[in-house]
Amino acid sequence: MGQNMLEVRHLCASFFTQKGEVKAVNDVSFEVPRGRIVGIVGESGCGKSMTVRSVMRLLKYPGKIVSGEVMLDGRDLMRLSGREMAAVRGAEVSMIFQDPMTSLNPVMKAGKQVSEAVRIHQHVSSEEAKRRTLEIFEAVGIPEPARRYDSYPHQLSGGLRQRVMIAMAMICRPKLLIADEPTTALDVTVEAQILRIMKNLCGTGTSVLIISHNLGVIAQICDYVYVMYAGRIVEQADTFTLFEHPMHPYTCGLLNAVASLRLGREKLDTIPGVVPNLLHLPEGCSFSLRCEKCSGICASKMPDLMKTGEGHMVRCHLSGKGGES
Amino acid sequence: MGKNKRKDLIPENIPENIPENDPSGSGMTDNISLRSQIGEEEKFSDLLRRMARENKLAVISAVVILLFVLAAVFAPVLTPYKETEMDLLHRLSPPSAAHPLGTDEGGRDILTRVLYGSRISLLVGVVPTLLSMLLGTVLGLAAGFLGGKTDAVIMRLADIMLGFPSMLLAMLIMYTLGDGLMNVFLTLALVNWASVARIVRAEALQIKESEYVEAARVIGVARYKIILRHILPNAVPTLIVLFTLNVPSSILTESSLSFLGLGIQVPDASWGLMVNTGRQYLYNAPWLSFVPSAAIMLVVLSFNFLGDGLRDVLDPYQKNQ
Repeated sequence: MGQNMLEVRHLCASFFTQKGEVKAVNDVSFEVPRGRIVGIVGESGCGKSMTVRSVMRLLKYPGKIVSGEVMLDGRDLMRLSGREMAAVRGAEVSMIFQDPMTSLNPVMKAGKQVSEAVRIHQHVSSEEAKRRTLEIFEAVGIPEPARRYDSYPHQLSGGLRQRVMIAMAMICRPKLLIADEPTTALDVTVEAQILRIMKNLCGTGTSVLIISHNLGVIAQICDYVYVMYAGRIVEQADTFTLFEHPMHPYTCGLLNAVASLRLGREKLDTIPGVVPNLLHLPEGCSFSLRCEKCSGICASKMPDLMKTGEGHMVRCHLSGKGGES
Repeated sequence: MGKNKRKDLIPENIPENIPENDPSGSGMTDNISLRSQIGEEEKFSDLLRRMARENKLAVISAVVILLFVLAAVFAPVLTPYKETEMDLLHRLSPPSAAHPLGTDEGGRDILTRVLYGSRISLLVGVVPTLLSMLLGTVLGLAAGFLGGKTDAVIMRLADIMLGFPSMLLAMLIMYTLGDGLMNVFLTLALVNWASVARIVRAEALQIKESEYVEAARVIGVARYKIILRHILPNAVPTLIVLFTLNVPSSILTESSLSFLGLGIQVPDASWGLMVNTGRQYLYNAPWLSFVPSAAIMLVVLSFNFLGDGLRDVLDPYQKNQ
């Protein structure tokens, strides 16, 4: 068994629209080591969600996976049939969504929805499924699990619903949990609790891949971070290095655009411009149009991911000279 | 990019004082919302009680429908006459003590015929509606959820059905199949399924895109189970309302068919048929048409009001408000 729970190699996924192919995920490779939490950050529309949906093989029309390998614990998910993939979903890899308000079936009791997963994958009796559900409710910190089992989603608060979602994703003890902006719809107090639960889960052997545009969330729980921009990974490093020594101008921009009480700045920095239209990407580096340090080569040639330190890779011609903020 | 989040980004200062899950609730925010949202599951009786409180008209309608059902069941007890019993000496007699609602051109008691007629009219309202809803729901769900070619074929078929004038279609089918109650059922079911399929398809398309269906797929629920356990139950409020709206339309179509001489035949009693025969005596014996018309109107309106009331009460988002 390899050291990585998930290895994604050269993943390309596109939307095939009437205006042409939109390369939303472009040659993305990353890995999630066993028992670790890995984060992917980036602006809206940079391909984060598309990447993880590709891992689940749940792209919606007209999105399609073009090429690439997704190795989950040594098995290539891309080669599985639809039926085999359905057996993997929920049992080996599971996912939670951004908005717990809409991710639960409003006419199904919370407990039933959670137990559905075990009943499908492990064919247990309904009593056993209920027992397991109450157990996992306890584990994700749902107070009065017996009563919550019979609650409908609308009777639960946002934090409780997200816990139910996590319970649903975790009840079969999957090898990998994908969290697509798990705390974006929650307030900060609940966010902290949910993150703690996810961190605890990680202690029980499940690897976690978390997507966020909230750098605070990433900083709190991730071991390793990938930064995505316009469908490509532009920088990857362990969390400490990324926050202390960001190399890519985009990463620097992101970090500078976060409000901080300590620095006491009057005005927030922003990254000028908008994310480029993926139909008309610039010829060179996709960030070149917005980059302050853009020079001749940037506009003509797409840089490769280059190693700049232990486990630190940057997609920038100027890396090394790119400078820290 | 998280501009409104006041968060320190330096990793050494990762907040370690994340509140533990206190057993009483789960943090401040949860406690507040918990209190307002502790609601036990709503029983069906509570639901009816709530409807009684909020929508009196719906309750009255339900009572009216119930009365008609009882009348249909107990017709033989409620009247001394038989619906086909002729009394040529008392043709077209106005309401009197012996015949509270008068008699028709064959001397048959109108009250009796309306009571017996409610058997056919209610059956004709409910049975074909159930049949057409079954057919329409299955096809609509298949079209909406599977999409692609299945969707195209089913929906073009529905378009053809809908594009044809429904009365003409019903007449054609009735003419081909011949008279009789069973054939009326079949005809009405065949005429009505297309609109049901369209509405159910629209509903399925919408529910299919919802995040909870996606969440179900994420945990590996099979497709047919998603349809049965996630999409269908969420379409139930729509289906119930559709049912209550289609029952009156079936009753009306049957009335029209009988009126045109294609449905139920004399001497059997159906409301539409009675209106038709009464037409010839409209000036000297208006009760012949008036009584069954009133019965049709009462039942149709009642079903409509009940449908409205149920729709309001069944919306899951409106529970506990």
